[in-house]
Amino acid sequence: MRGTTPRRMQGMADPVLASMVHDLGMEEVPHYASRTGTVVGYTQRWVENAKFRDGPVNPQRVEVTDRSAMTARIKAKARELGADLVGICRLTPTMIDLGKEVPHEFVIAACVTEDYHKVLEGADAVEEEAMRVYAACADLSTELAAYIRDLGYPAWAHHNGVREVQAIPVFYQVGFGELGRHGSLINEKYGADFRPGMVTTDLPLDVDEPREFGVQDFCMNCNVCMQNCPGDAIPEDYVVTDGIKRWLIDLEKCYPYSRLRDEYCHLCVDVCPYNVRSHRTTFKTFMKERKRIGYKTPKY
Amino acid sequence: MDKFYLQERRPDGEVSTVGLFYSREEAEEVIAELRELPDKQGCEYVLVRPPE
Repeated sequence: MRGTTPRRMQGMADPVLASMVHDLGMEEVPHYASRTGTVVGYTQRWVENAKFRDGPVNPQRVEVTDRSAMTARIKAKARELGADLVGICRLTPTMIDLGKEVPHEFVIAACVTEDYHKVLEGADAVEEEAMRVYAACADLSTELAAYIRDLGYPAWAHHNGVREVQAIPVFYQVGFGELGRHGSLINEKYGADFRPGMVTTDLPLDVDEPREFGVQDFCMNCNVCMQNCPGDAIPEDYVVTDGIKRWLIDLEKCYPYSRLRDEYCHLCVDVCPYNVRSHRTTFKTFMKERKRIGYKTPKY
Repeated sequence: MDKFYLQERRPDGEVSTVGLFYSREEAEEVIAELRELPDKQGCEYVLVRPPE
């Protein structure tokens, strides 16, 4: 199956970012050059995992006579490996990077949640937590793919180190949540504080369904992320892709804060009121500080 | 930078936004790739400037 959805490249492979870096007379992205040793260690983990995203398939196939039992087994395995949410859907071309081929029928989506309390420790702590979770997702998806190949079915891991599948359309389809104004998928319990690991496979599985619980309607009136974005990069207006509202972040305004300075920026997600359900005290403390320095805060 | 929304206009009349691009050249490269896909035959691609 060939993909139909463009993916913006990361780092200097992104022509927008490369142009901005060169305009500053620099050769590398300032934020990446200033990463801590801990963060670099995490990035090396997913690079290392990429070598094992595929491998030999056990010729002694376990026949699936009860799809629902196999689905439960795979979800339990993903949770054992550290997933906080697990869902499954059929793979479609819109979930795959433009022009890339993925020869599988299903995608298993897993997410690992971040420790939201890091917002009180500053940008470096938030970045280290994000990268720790990305590395955990790489470990999880690599091990889950190997587990499925051992059952006798082809399986590829998809994570930060190697991927052809895009998390947001998959996470929507498996019912993890809805796309928020800040451009990340929002779950009613975890907000957008989670990262993706995925496995594509031909193992026969039952599929989950999308769930809508009012996120996009809420985002239409909330605007807290938009008003807390230091670069004013989150738009008022939305576009529609395949029937779903999307607010497309203006990277020319985002990058000066998220890539062209040393400090990590994750504010749009950190200020989202959907964090209040799981982290009421921390969210209120964090937002009090945001208010003190002049940003809009919600009444919760 | 020049900015363009790339819209896909499908044979059934549906309009779907592919993404936001930061130069005509960048958007044209994506259009060329989309036009190679059998599933996209019959779609038209239009660049639209975002509101100021």
